[in-house]
Amino acid sequence: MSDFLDLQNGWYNGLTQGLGQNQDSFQIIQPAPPIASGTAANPTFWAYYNNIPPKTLTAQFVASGGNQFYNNYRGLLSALVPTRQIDVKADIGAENFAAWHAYVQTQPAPSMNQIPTMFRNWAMFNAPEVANIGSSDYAAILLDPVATAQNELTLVYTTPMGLPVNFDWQLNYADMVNQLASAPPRSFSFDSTSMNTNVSSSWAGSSKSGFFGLWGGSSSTSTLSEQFASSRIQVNASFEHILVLPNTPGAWYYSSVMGLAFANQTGNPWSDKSSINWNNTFGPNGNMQYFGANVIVASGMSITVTSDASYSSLDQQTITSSGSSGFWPFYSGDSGSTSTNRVTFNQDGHMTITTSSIPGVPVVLGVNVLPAGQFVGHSSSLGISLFESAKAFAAEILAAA
Amino acid sequence: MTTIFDAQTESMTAITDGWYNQLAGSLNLSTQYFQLLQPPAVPASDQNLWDCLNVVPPVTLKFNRWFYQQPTFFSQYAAVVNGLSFPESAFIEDIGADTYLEWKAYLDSLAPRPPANKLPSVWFQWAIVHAPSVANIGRSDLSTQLLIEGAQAVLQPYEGPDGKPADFSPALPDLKSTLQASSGASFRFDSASDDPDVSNSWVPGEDPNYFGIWTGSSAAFHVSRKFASSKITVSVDFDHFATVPVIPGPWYNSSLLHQAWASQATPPWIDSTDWQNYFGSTGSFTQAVGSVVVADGITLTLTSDAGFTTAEQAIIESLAAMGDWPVYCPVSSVAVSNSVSAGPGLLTIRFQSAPGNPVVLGFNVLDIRSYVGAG
Repeated sequence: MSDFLDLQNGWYNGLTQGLGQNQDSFQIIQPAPPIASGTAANPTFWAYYNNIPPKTLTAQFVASGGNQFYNNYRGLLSALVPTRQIDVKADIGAENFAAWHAYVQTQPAPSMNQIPTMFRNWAMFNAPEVANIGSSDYAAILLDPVATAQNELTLVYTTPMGLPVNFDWQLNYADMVNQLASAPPRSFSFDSTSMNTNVSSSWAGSSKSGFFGLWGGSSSTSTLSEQFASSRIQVNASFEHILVLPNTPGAWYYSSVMGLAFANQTGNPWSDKSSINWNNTFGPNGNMQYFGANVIVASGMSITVTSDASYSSLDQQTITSSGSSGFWPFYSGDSGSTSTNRVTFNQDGHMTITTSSIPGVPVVLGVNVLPAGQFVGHSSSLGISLFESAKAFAAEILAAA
Repeated sequence: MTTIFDAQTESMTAITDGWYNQLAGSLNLSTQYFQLLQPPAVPASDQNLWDCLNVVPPVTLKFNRWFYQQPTFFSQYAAVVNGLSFPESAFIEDIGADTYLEWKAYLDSLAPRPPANKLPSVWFQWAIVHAPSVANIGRSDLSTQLLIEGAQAVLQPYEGPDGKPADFSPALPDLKSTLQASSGASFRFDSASDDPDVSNSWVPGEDPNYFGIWTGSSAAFHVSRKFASSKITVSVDFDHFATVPVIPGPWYNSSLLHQAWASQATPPWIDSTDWQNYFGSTGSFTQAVGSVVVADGITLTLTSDAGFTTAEQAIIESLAAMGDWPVYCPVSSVAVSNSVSAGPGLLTIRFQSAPGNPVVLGFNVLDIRSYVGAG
């Protein structure tokens, strides 16, 4: 016989598996708040990605707007310095530099990107022995990932008055709705007799406090709830459309720089002048330990739960009149809301609860919360290679090549 | 730990804790975060709503807004940010005094002078030709300075006597549309089978309920104690119900608040004792509202079998407009109604809020550590 917590844990695992999610990263948003379209649809939708979820004691998502990716990223970029200082004058010689400097000023305002080639062309005739090293130097200056990311952020995402511009993400609310409409269906079932009640490996670990108010309308220790929890419970869930939607921050975000910062706990690229450092960014006190990488959205949800306990007619009355608002994701909706549910009893007193959501209305089921290492993982290799090549940059070798 | 309740308020506290557990269980709220608001807010404007959200909540399961005088979230945030100081930019030092003079001469020759956000780019364009070795450190310094100053500067329009009021997300129309698309909930409470045990909640210790039967009455009143020890049933219907994250407006920068919390040292703090004043165990900024718990279209019917005297019945009936346990919502607009009918051995209270008028029932409260992301 299972108790209430077992059932809750079992359901969490069942849902996680049923949705094809990994226990390590899946966090259920509950109660599932719909995304209402309207003026604030994009910011509301992006907030799922931008609000960094607190690591709650349970796998339950507790929404908070206190910790924000975009703000933190701006803070992070204020704590970084360029990867390397390149001394062009020393590399090409002071005399050559003076001659080149005089020449370049006679040219009609060159764009920055033209400088390496322009130098090379000039040097081929005037200082051929430093043509390669000089043009490599200029290219390396232009390519510095940290300085470039900082420059971009201040230029595009800062107003002329110096104030931050609102953030964006690449996919917006309308994109999500479109993708959801063509997303595949999914269904799964769950049986309490064969459930896995171990949640110790879930991302938030196990917890004594129940994360599902499984049976609303009565406390988890009430007789009715115990009867329910100890019965054989079968769940059949189907979704007309279900979508795991990864999203990428807008042009304000340079994943390579974030990877670079994550990969180096001390020293470059961290500035020793800032009180923002690796530990208070990615460490145990950090504000960027986790990221909501994907949002799991569904529409056309239909879930049927059966319990083989024999409910007395009094129990049946209590359950029916209480609206049975409780077994996640059940809602006793009325017209106009996103979902409705119905409770029926057969002649043996066995209970069936059916919940369905309005087709086409997106309901958020959960988010994938990834630790920083994983989140920047896909990009950090690029960041590291940029960093390594910047560090290993040896003008002499290039020049000799 | 033994909890010692004031016997006078014990019975009201017990049924209110039972109601707290009931709400949490029925609405799938975690007792590790949930807090009841007494009285609830029924905002009629954005400003009403934001005034309700703009608070540092106290450490209690039952936030009695008449009793607890809490500072606003904005005031604490602004005080913290204004208590921080960042080192002067090392721009001149990093690029060298000679280069700085040349750059300054160039900059002065530009008309109009480039706006703040273009300064790093203008510098870089100039420096790649004239001072390539410090081009990157220079633009990094200028960018960094802008990022730091911008985070503090966004606060300025909200400060001072003519400052803009602190705004939050959601605004009232967005909250209404979210609720409109949200599901409803209905449940029953019965004092005969309720669960007043809050020892596993986020406030396990002494935490009395201050109000009695009606809003503003004392839990210690004889009539309140009589009510609290009677058999009480409540049946509740919400047309719509939602938990919505509270996001401070553009004046807020999560990175600055986190930086203040994560570093006790000077700098970034100007005054080395400030950290304790705000974030220490008795500090003024140890909690924040993570999300708000809101219902729309409430229909609530309460019955009590308390044996009130005729005089007591008359008082309870005459004060119906104050609002009654458990929601304690005063009838302050046509959006809500509260009627009481009292007879021998049966008190019936009917509370309703009209559809389209969100009622803020409570908060999910995070400690400041979790709020700024440190888990």
